[in-house]
Amino acid sequence: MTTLGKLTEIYINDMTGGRPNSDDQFDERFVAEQIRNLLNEVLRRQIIENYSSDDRSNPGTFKVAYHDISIQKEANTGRKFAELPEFFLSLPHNKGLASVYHTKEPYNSFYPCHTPEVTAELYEMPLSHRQPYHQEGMKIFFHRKDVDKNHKEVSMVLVIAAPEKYDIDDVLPLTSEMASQVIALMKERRLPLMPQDQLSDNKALNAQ
Amino acid sequence: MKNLDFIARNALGDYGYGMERYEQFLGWAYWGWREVFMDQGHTSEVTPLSINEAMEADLPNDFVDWVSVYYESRNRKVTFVHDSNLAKRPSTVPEKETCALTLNQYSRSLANRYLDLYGPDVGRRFGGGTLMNSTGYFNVDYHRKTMQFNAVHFEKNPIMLEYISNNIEHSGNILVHEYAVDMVRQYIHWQRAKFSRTGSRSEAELAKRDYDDAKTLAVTRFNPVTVKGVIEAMTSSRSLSPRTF
Repeated sequence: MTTLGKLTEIYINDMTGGRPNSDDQFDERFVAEQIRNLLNEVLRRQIIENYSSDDRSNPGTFKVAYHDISIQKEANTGRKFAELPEFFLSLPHNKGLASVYHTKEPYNSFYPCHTPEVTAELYEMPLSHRQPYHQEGMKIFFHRKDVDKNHKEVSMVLVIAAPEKYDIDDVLPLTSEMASQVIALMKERRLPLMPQDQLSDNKALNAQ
Repeated sequence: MKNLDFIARNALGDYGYGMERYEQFLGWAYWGWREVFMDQGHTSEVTPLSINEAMEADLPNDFVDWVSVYYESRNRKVTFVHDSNLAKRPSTVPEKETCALTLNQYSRSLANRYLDLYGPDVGRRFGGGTLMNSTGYFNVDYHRKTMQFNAVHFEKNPIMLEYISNNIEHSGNILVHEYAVDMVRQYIHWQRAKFSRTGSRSEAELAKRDYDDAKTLAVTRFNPVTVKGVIEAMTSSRSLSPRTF
């Protein structure tokens, strides 16, 4: 079981030679944020880009659901929309946004319109009972006006390795190789940022 | 009966896609269903027409083509005659206000029956012949989605329209007959191969072959050739053939 806090501690411990103290240059909050970003990068590089052409489904381990997001009405255009809780992994066909559905109907998912300028009102009304939607920035717009007729809240499932929803002590759904990859990558990227003397004699600043 | 949603999701499952391609597949399912509909699945609907002051009626939303236009009188159908040369009427009829006749009276008048039938096309009046019936004529104006009549004097008996419907229920789903479900699915696969940017031409041709097989199977199921049917056809053809002595 790995948590963001545990990864942060391992990294700081490694970098300070096992003697972290208040004088060192590592702030846990920033380290945790960096690890969070790197986890997503590793997820993409290690797992998703190595998929064979037959593996088209999203990795279920890294899906995270946000529930009870209220449907709102845009003042200017009158369109119904819901706010994205956070951004997700950039995948082909916008598959990082894995699913949108009414919270009470988890398997009656909506379907995305990738080019609403072309297809809006073309295939929607008569062909399917499902709700079409498209994304603009951090908003998900629903094409049908009756989207909030029976249910006022939607859920969104995002593909993301370390979502902001998970606190520093929450268990992350990570594979063990991802954890070690992230620590190694953190150290690698930290190297050019180290002070010059530390690069040359390989001694920590506080040890001098 | 299966709906297009079912077929589109099945085809998505064949490739392991998620909902990200659903819209595209649903569109192809629609066109595949349309192929079925044009050959086999069409249905005819009957609806009363509400005719306005300009002697025209709006066509239903799911109208494809007309079958018959009639009114019922003493338990028999009296059909109107389709005349494609009937003069197209304007959307408003100003002369109606000046002639002070009711719609019923105007329809019965000789002026309407003989003089207004072909509008300004005077020469057509002399070629009327058998078209000069007393029931009336109609023509379909596809551009304005209206059905136009030259006479409507059947206020008590509503004029009925029997038409081929495209079966789209605007609140629900299109249903595909069970025989044609696989045909629509194969149509989706063919279209995907055809429009694929990376696929080859031969892949699309193979997919087309699969679709043709599924279509043949569907048509066979819709119109099965049975021994009984063949014998009936032979019998009727014999009885209809001219007798030779």
